[in-house]
Amino acid sequence: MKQDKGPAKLSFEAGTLLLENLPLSRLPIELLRKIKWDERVGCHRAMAYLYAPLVLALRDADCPYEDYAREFKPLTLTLNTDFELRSHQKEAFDAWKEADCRAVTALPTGSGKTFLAVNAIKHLSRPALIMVPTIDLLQQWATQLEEFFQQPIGMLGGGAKDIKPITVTTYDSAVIHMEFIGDKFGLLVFDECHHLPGPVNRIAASMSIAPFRLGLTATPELEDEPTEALNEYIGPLCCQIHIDQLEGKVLAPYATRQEKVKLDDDEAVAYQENRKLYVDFLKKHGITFQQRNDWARFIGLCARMPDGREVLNAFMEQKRIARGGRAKVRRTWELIQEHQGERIIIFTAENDTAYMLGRKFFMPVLTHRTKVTERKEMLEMFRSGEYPVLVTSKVLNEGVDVPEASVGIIVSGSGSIREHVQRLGRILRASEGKQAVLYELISERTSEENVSRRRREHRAYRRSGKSFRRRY
Amino acid sequence: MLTKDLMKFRRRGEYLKPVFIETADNRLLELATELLTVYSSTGEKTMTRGEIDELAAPVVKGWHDLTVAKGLHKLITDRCEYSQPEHFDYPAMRKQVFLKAAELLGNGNLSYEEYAAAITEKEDLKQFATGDVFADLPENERLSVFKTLYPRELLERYNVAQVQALLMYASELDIKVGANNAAELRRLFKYLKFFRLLAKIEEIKAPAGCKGMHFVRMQVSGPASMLDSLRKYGMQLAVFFPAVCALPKWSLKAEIKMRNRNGRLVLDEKSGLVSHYRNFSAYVPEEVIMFHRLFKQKVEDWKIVGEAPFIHNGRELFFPDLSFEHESGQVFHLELFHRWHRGELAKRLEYCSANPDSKLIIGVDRALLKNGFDTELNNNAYFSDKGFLFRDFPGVDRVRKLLNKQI
Repeated sequence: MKQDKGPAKLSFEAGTLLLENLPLSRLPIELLRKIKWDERVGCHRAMAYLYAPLVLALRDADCPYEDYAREFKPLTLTLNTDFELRSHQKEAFDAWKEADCRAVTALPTGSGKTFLAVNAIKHLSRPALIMVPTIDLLQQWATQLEEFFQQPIGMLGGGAKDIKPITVTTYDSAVIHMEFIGDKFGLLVFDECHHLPGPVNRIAASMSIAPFRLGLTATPELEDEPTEALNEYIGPLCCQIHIDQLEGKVLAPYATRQEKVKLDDDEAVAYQENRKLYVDFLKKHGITFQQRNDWARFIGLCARMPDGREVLNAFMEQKRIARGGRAKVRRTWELIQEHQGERIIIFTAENDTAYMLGRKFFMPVLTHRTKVTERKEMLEMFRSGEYPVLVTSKVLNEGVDVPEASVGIIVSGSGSIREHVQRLGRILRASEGKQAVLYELISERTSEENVSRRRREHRAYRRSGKSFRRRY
Repeated sequence: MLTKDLMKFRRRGEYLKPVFIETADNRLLELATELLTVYSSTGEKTMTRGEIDELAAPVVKGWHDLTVAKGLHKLITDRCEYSQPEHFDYPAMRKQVFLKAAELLGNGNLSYEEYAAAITEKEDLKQFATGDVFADLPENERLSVFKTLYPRELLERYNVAQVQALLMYASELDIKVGANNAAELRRLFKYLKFFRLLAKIEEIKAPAGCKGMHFVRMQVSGPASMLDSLRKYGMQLAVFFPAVCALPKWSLKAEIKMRNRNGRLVLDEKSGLVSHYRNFSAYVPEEVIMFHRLFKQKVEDWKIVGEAPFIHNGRELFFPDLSFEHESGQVFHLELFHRWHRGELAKRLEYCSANPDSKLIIGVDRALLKNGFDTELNNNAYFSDKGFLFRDFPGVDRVRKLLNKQI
């Protein structure tokens, strides 16, 4: 391709920008670092997300340019609602606008992140792509956006491939399709945007030219995740509001109750025996789980050593007892009885425990294995109250809107602070007279005590006078 | 495809050496046979995923090198499809059970025993609720399709899969290939296009002892590879690789970037890898097959002929998509440019403008017009004479019309 002396030309190709006749000497150095000469096509190339900074730099330098990259036009949108932004939403919305509509906002679950996004879409009136982490959220966002804008909403993911001016997609599908649709949207909304920094998901952000970006999350900076990627592909954190700041106003008043449950005698003995076998093996081989590859080492040793199989079984058994022992099952049944008439979500650490409880109590279980149609029906029936209890492992940890749920029972979980905050968030949507309560069942004198301590390291759990502890 | 935990390679200085298995080793052939037998077993009813896993587990775990056995097993499971159990309409029956449970919960305090009995003793639910209400989970699905293969093929695929697993972490391949004829090279280029990869290609001199063979060097990557060490194209490069090792002469260099395990992969035909891409037909898109069929039906004075040759412009090679022979004996070639071939199209127009007598006709997907090519194409004399526009895939009539214009 020949580089003539005409105006700069920008075009979109497979998630990148092809840049012809670029006036390199007039562009800022930080931008030049991200642009490369591509011998294969004979012109410069940059990732598509640099579209906005490039156009602004060309304008600032008074350089003429022809824009063949953008394939979207302004939309005419009307909002079908009488709602207005509440004060915390307005604070976030204004902060986002001040950040040139390219920023992350952190609002607690239940505080109306969707409505904030709806206002952002209306404000810009450009084709918008909303990225969500799960298929349940895909359905939920599409339904809500259709109500707000009274027009068909596109869906990409979970078997759907229908692109419309406002489209909702899963991160997974966005990664696959962005090289083909990255020129079609002016605004990207990243729901639960802490999913973005991963090496795969960020492709969804880097291959789009969308000049405007809104990141939504309840937990932006937890657990040492890199925030540079959020900065680079969305923008800075422009506003953060915490759960306790909205409790009793926008969010339901809540209590968290940690309950220590004593293992049955035979299970306590089995736990100690299996735990000892496992811990002795770790000590013998110097595994502390402080190193990144310690887990792989443990599994490798289990495969190679003569006693490895026995140790692996012991590890699984002690974990099973601590996470889903009989005493916990009994206590869960009691809590279900105590909260009759309320909507209860039961959380477990893994699918096996969730299905064990589902079989035992004849209750719906929602995991990633649940087929789309059944999962949609389960959620609808739970919302309507036809199913008062829903058992889940991790798929309901975030995002899915179940305003009616007021009781959460954590039968088991990981040490993740984010997971624990998100689970609390599931029951916090305010409604008339609602008092939310989150139970955390801990098997006494097991490793669960440490796991629980780790995950409660968040200000939402540190309020005085609001937490209850009980022993059984 | 093998997952990260099933990769086997060694580090030698800066090089990563995949650990290949001996495909003629009798013990390995026995292991492959045993594993394949688990999946190929015939009976009135095929086995469930759980039953198969139970049978395969001792075979896998009994092998001294668990990673190899698991890898072979993974390659087999990639060739399976499963179907749902058919005893009940599980979602519908479950719904009945859950509704009954909800009703009982709302009826006041029942002991667990009373509650469970009220559900399992209800006449229309009895049979279902006393069994496993979640019996349609994946482990209970039945094997419905298994694309079988010979034990030796499985071992050969394992070795190729080890290379592919490393290439998942590459962003570019530097390859040199030697082919006996243009058709072999052309097949390689079809794969390149099919997997939406870009390449810088140059013809190179055949080494001593390879007289008469065509040699090219290709630097293969995805459009954005040069900008970011994205893993996005790793899969495309990995699935492209068997097309490379299918050629009689080949060598490959790739930088592998894994967390803390970076290294260089260097391989050639002496590695003894056997490609399973023996026939491109399995990958020919439906629209291409349709075009061939319709062209044969509708056009009498032209026919699609064998493999189109490549065109060398002194620097690079071009590979037309189809060649057409007129009854007069004249041959014309057709090259199609889709939305991701912007750079290629620009180069081809430059070449054809400089060589107006080329026997090449050019089809351009309308999706490319938005990139500013509408003006460029309108002003290009060669394209006005030997080019046409299409949407997604060209129609037979459009191609015939342009071909007739050339005679």
